[in-house]
Amino acid sequence: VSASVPTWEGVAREHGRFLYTVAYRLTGNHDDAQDLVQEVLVRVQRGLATYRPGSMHGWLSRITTNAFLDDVRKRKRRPVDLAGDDIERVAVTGPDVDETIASEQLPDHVQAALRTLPDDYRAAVVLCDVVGLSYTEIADSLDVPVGTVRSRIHRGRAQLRDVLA
Amino acid sequence: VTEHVGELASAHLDGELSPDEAAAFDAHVAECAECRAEVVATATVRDTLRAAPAIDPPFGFYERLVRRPPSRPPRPWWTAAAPVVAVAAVWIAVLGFAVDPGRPAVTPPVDQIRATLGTPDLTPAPGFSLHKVDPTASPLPDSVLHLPRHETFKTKAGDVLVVFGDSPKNWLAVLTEPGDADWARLRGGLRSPVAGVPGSPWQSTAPGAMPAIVYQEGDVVVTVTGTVPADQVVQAARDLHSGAQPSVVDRLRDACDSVLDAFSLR
Repeated sequence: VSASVPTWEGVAREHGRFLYTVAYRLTGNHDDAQDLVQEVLVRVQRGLATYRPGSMHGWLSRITTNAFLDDVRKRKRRPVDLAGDDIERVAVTGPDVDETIASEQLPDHVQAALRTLPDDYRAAVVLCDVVGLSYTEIADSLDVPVGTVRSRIHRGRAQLRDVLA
Repeated sequence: VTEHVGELASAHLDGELSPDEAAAFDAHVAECAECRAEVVATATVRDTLRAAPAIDPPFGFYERLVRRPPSRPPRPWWTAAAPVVAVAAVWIAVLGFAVDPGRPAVTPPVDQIRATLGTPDLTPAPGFSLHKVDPTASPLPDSVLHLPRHETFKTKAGDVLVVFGDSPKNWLAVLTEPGDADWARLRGGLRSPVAGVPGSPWQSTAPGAMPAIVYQEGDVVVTVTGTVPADQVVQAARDLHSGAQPSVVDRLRDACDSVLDAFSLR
């Protein structure tokens, strides 16, 4: 049994790119994506005992979306801090290596459009179109009914369509 | 005509409708141009998202995590950026006379620091200390690129800055910092392999920026910069890395140790 229990280093090695992609799509920037991945690996470390052999991607993306939504809720409780963050970000924004890499990998307008979605919609869309989970799995990950998943995905895509138009 | 089914377009495309729902959907869409358009538009967005490639983390991101496990709270970016800020501050504080204020900074904080400092005033930025150390006390090279060693400074615990040069217009600075390079925070440059320099060093590329190269040698981050042309900065890095044993970087590392001892920082 112990052989099938992964280590967090193993998760980072084997699924690092996948994990980073999900984190980047959710957060929309490299700084937050890196913080999110670190948080996910902390949770992976703690939660490895509860991991049951199955879809590693499903398990990881559930942890990632939950960590992301937890952080979003935490930030919303601290509006002053958030405003401070935004000012800081504006001040340090400039062309850098990371942004260059990102823009080569995904057209800016698509990632920018994703960022306009409400966090709950974005989580559902990312789990569906980036991770490739079924609606049932997404409902399970987000702890909402399948009907909610269905409407969040469609409304999310509809909003993206308008932004991208 | 039955009720519009546009809301179900995503579920239909994702194969998430029940057989009954799917049959009703198909029947309606066959008759309704509006819902057909909804399906087409939704499919376009869906395809765009699904075709998007995976994102690579910044160079060395996971490697750094493995060396510094994530149970340790992540360092806020401003402390992670501190070495870069410190380097910049030192350049400005010590060598400010040689830095053309019209040139773009290699990292964004440089502009802020420069603005705080003001051009003619060479007072170090708040929070940065600078101690000149006795150059004879450490086994440092006497010259790099035929530029004689000029001054040696301790910038903060463990960092050593050595300035080689013969005039304010002609100098080369070598900074060694114990620890791992935080590549993701370096701005205005790119990483790529350079023959004779370890790893995949970072070089400044912003137009008009000071030529600079940053590389990791063992447990020390080495930054080389100066008023000399960029290719000579790279050559200096090559000279520092290769050649006689112990290498210059080894000697700088020893210098770090002796400096720490000298300032009773251990």
